[in-house]
Amino acid sequence: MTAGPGTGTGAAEADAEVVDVAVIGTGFGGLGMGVSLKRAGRDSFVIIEKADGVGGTWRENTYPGAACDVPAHLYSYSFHRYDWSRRFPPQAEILAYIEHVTDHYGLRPHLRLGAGVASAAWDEDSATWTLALDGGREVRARVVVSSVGQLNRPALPSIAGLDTFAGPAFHSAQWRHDVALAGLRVGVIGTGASAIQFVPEVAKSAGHVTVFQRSAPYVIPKPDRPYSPGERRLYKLLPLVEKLDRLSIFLRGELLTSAIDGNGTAVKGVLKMWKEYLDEQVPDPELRAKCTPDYKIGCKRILFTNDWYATLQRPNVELCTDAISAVEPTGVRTADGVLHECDVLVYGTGFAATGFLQPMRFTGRDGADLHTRWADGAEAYKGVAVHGFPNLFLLYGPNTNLGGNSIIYMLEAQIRYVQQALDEMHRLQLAALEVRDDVERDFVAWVDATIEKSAWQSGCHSWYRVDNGRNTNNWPVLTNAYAKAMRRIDLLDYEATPQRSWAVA
Amino acid sequence: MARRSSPPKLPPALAFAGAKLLRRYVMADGASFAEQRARMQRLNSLLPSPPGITVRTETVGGVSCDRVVASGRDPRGVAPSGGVVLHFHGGGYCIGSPRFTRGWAAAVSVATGREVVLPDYRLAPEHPFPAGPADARAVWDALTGEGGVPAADVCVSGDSAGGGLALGLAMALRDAGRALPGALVLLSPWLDLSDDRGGDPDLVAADPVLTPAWLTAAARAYAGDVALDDPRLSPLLGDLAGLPPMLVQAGAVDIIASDSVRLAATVRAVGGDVTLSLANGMFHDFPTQAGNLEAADSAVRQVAAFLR
Repeated sequence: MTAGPGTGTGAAEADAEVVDVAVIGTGFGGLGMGVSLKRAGRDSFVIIEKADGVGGTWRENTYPGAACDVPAHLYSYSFHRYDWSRRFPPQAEILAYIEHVTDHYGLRPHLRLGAGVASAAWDEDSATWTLALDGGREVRARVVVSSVGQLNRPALPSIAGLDTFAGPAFHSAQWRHDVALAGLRVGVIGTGASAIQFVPEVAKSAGHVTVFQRSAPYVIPKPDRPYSPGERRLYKLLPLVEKLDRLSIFLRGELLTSAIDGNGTAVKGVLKMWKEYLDEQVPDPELRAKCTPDYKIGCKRILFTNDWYATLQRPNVELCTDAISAVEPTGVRTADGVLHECDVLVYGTGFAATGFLQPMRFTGRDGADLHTRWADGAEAYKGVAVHGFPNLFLLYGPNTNLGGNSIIYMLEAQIRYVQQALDEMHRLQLAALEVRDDVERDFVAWVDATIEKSAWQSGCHSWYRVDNGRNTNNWPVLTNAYAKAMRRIDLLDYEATPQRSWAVA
Repeated sequence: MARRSSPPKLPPALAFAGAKLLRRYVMADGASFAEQRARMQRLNSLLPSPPGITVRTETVGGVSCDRVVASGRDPRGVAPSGGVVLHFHGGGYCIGSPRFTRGWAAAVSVATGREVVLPDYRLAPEHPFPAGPADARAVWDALTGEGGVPAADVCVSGDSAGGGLALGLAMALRDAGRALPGALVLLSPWLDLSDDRGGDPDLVAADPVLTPAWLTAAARAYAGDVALDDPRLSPLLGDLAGLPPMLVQAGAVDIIASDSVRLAATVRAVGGDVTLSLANGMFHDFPTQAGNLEAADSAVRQVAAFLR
């Protein structure tokens, strides 16, 4: 629309690809946005991806045992059903689904792979963003939709001597498939959502596994099983049955969410489920004590698996709860002075989740820097819009992560909202939308006040919170409330810039 | 999502229906403007006065004005630093009264701590142009004269036709080389009387408040012998440079919403400072429903933030 050659800014201008919408990221969010744009008949868009393929977190996390912890009937696009092999499919199957969706909706021509966005700058005069890609290419777009996720930058622990380790050492999201672990002594640092999936797999062939745990997770059983051919036929022939399953998964998710939000009855239910499972699985009181978390349930991510406690009781697995004092060339030394010798170290230490949109640099109106603006923690109106940054929309942005339900549900609500913004801009011939400062502030004040009642803020150290204690990641109430709040965009929440053609000559 | 606790609000659909009823009753085809005024008065007399304010009616510059102040403030002690909002009501220059925008004035006074002055300026057809702008100027001069409020502490605002008066006043002050108000707030302003508004039949059908025929009649009654595209009647067609920072709010389901958009585009083009918010699902003059409608409350919050 107004995206066209405006005020010249340099030689690179001529080479810039000019589009209506630039989407960043090819995970569930970015591709879903692409499908929405396609369906709206808006073909002027690119989806920029730093890696060489689509899939986002499901392309990056290839560690053994990687799988989703929300059943696939809900953890998939509502608009694209699929013949899932089991209730909680493994990473490879989810990635295949994403590849399939990419092809099915004709998104390939829109992909710009292998080019990370280094920076993006807003030009007020032409009402466009200029994105500088790694390698020098440029994209100019009227609207930018950032869909880079919350869990895409591996976080390494800050432990002395980390780089002195002599053997192979890697993060679970950068799995070294070239390192055969069979028969080796493997040290695993961390007991989060990744570790509880890969440790059981690694333990099957490794000589010895030492799991270093800082705090125990709450673990509850994952009702996983393959679907029988009959079931798969049923889901295929009767979409309503799958829809009902989707609904029932969603409602159970809402129950879990309400527990985290502070509903006492629901908390008791989840706590009971965990305690009974632990008691049944772990007879040894000493190990049971080690497996008992020292924080309120829900404060950190609740984990779903059937083989974590069993794995910890294998003869070749040891759970070490002593604090790590240093990594040395031959292993890990704990505070009690013991050196735990290892051939390989695996960091299951999660991601820098509070560093939203890092390491990209965004320069908004009047030269405002996004990360400076977010120095006290990221924030955005309804997770999607930031004052000072017109025509920038975020998917899976601040305070839209969940503790008990499907992120894809959230992403679809966001995609619909952003699509409405684009449609309204088109209909009303607007060049830009920027969320009102007072609207964003009111929203953030509500989030901050509401989330204080949740288990997330009950005092543990988690990846949801920044140094000052603010929870920048999670949505504070029921998932359904978010969908409701996002159903219809209210442009009154925004300041609008009319297209120039509106001006009286 | 739960907002702060406040009285229940009208669902937008009901507000649309109410606006439509208002049009049928007040702005009825064939009713004279005098009759329309009388009907509006009758409706207004049914409305309870908004809580939390005191209202004094007094003459400012020869024009009767309602002075609205949030309770707890001394109405006479208009602190020079506190500032004033001088608001002109809407009604196509032919109907309407200060009472009609008292709800908005109350909400703004509560949100900003400012006094809101609502002039009961003379209306057409009895008093066509230039009676309205002359009254507006007289109130301004009295308000900001010797010992009055500094011009910069006054926000001049208006809804619908009142938006035209407000913008016209600021332009006249600029042309006269006088001190300008600190800010302008225009709600669904009517700024171009020469446009017949028939261009978009879908929009004409959807607009619950205004019709092209009513606007045309009001424009003719107000203009008298002056051409409708004279910038003194249609400030959008005049010079829009060198004006105070302005906030423009409009509902998009309004056949004159384009005036707001054209104003914002033009002021930007001449280097002015303008903020436009266009409520996609709202009707003409919706901010005047403050207290009854969540969107109107949101609009008042924006005004308060703008004046801070």
